[in-house]
Amino acid sequence: MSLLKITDLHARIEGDGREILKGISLEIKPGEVHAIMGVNGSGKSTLANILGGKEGYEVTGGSITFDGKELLELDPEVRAREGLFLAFQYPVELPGVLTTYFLRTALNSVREHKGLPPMSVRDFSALVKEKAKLLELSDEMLKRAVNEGFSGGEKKRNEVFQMAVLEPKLAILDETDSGLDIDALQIVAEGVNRLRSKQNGMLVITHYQRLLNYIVPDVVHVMIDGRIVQSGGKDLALKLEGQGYAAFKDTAAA
Amino acid sequence: MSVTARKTSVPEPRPSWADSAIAAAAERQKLALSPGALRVAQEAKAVWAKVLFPTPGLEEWKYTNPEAISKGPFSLASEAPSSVSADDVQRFEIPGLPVKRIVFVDGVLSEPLSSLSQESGAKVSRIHSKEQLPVGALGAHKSEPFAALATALMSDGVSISVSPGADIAIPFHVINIATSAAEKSVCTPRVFVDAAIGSRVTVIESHVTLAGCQYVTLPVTEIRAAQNAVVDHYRLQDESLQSFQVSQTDIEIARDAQVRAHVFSFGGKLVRNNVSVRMVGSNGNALLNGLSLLAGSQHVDNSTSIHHVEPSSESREHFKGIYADESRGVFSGTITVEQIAQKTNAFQSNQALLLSPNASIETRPQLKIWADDVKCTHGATVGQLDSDAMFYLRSRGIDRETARNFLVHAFASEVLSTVTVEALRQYVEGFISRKLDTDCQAGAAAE
Repeated sequence: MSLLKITDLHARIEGDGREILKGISLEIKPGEVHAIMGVNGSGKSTLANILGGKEGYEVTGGSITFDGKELLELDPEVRAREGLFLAFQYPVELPGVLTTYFLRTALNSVREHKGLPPMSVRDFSALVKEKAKLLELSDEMLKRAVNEGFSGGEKKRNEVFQMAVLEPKLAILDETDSGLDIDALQIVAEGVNRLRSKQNGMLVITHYQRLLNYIVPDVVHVMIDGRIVQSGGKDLALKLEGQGYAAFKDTAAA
Repeated sequence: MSVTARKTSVPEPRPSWADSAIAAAAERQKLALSPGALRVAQEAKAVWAKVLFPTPGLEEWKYTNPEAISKGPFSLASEAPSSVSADDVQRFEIPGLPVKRIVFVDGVLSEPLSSLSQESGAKVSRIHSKEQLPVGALGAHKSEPFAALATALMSDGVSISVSPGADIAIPFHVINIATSAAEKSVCTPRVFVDAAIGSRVTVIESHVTLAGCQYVTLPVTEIRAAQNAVVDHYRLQDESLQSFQVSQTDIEIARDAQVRAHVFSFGGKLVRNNVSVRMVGSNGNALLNGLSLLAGSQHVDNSTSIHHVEPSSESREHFKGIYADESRGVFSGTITVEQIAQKTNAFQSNQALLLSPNASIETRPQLKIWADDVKCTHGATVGQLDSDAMFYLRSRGIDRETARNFLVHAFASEVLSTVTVEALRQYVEGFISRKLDTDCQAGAAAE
């Protein structure tokens, strides 16, 4: 059974006639890491937002199943509880919302959905400590409000930290590499790789091949103008890096 | 810089409930008030006879129509103390906070429920005591219509007088309780805080209801902070949703003194809070914070005035409101800087969070600055729940209502961060949570 199956997905921004996704199909099986590469405006983030359940998009055709369920029928919080995690391209700052309180509420919402009792404060603290160390987040950062005053790189590390705590079945990383220096990139990649397992899947959305040196994908999709124009193994990313997207545009037009 | 022309109101000469209430009060005042207080009450009656009930034709009442109060009718609350048990009072205590308690029941001081004993450093006296207390010393009854009415009706109140240099660690908690006996009546509790040179004191005033009835409370609080004194004042309103309140808080801040005043409004049908601060000494410091959380058809109007009359004082003012359903908020903030008051720093901000498309806020900053070497800023924002923030929280598994509550608490946190009494801060947080859970349905949250 597939973990995520997208079939001929068409979508646009609400109130805007232009189609952004023009028939996307892809299937992620448990244990697989897929990468979607594409230039800005190709529809990558639209796809990520629709998977996460963000309002403001209209799906005009196609379907998405996640772990056997119709994803589009679920509220964003239910998707999260079912095990979907979206690492944001631009994580929002939430002044006044304390990181640990926020994350414990999130974790316990997921646990409740699974029929598990709430995690005790003590166990939660231990879990946070372990995962924070992995992502090199300081105690001081954890004491702050969510992302408040964080640098771009710190925000991205915080996304992967949350992911590590919530342990989703499917993680969608929306340009998690953008704005990261090489050290931060390695930290983030390490955090992501720890989550790889035979059961879990990942969808890594990126502009650049660089990230894929650290998070090695099983399948690479090239997305141009709302379509996946080519899919292949990890070597496809290298080919893309060497030849640029222009070479693939011809494929798209053909 | 703007100057508001005060319109000359043409009072309607027809008789109102206020006349009979004033007549009834006169009898009580003869027995209850000291000669000085009696004089102030007479003065207030003369003012009231000229101003009467304000109407929306007046600039100061443009966005708040007090007609429901002026129509009434309300009668003077009974002088006989209603039966309120210690258990009843306990409901309104602030958990984990030891206080010296002063209880007004329907506007009348309850001596059995209050601790009026002479503490070292602070003396609590009743207006009844015939002592010469500085009631009305700050003079709001000379201009504000409802303060004039409240003063014309006054027959009870307390004065908290803090000795020079005394640091009163335990806060005073003035609990104003309205019982079912308050139905259709007017209550005029009065508090005078006189903080002598170098003293420190905290006064918390709660306005609460035992029964869901309709009444009007006209509380008057005067705070005089002498040189180098520090006073923290909190007004916390959580009354019956049928009740009305027009409060007057007059604050005078002398040289090097500091007053931090907070106004928290949660309950009440129509609430107007007048806060007037006079910075009469150099280096004085005023902090004026407010938070309202309203639902249904509640209306709260915070009208503040800060007057810098000496050089080098600082005022910071921050009012926030959260409005659900069809509730309505009004904020007017006047800052006046006299020509002599050079080096004044004055900051004002008003922020509103609308949880419903039918909620509204009117905000009206007014700066009247006659000095040229000052720093004065003001700003106002009106917004809805940030949809990106809502999505972020929900994408982590947090349901819509909890996510909304997170953001409301976050919005309020800035104002609550200046509440230095930790138990009180938690108590107010609790009010917000309860109000969100009971009165503000999640469906009302902006998408």
